Amino acid sequence: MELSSKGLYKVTFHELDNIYSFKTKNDIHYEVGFSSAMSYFGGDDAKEYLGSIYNMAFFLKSTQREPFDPEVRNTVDVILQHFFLDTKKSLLYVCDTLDKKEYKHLMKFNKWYFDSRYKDNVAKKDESVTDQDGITYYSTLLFHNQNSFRLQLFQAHHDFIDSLRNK
Amino acid sequence: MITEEKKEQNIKMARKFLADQKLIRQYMHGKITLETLKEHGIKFERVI
Repeated sequence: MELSSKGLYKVTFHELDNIYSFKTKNDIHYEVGFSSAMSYFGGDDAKEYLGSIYNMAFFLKSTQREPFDPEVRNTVDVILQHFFLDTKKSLLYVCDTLDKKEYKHLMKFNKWYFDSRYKDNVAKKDESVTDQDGITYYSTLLFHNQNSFRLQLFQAHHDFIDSLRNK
Repeated sequence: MITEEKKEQNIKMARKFLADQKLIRQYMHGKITLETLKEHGIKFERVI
């Protein structure tokens, strides 16, 4: 499978690893992987009332740093546009806290979302919680506007993030 | 109203989520392999 669009990088799907990848004009290699988040929400049985929730991992495979290249974001944008063609899919994002830059990650994620082409069809719901150690977890759930499970998704997302408070 | 049992389950899942995120991050930085991720039950899927 390949995704391609004018001016964007060609995305290739690797069947063996179930990973999407693309290479930039600067010969920088990126990978995108989607893993099911259903185990955090009651397992696959919960698909009946939540649809399918995924985590997305986006990573630089090359060792060198990428000079600013807007086509990287646009390419990820196209991957997500295709992801949300199934209106019952949603995406859970929790900002990484290990590098203590969680707020910076949130701002970057928000910018990507507000600049995206998919935002007309995809809504976001934000949650945050601060745990006993003072770590704040920012989380966003992206879901299609026509996702019929959205009310159940809101509650499940809220309960999940709230549980990080006492983890 | 969320039951105590459900609350415990949610906390357990939250811990698993954080542990999984750490593993994915290690994979992203080339410190562990995809096989190791799979051994921990984390598998990437075809979604498009």
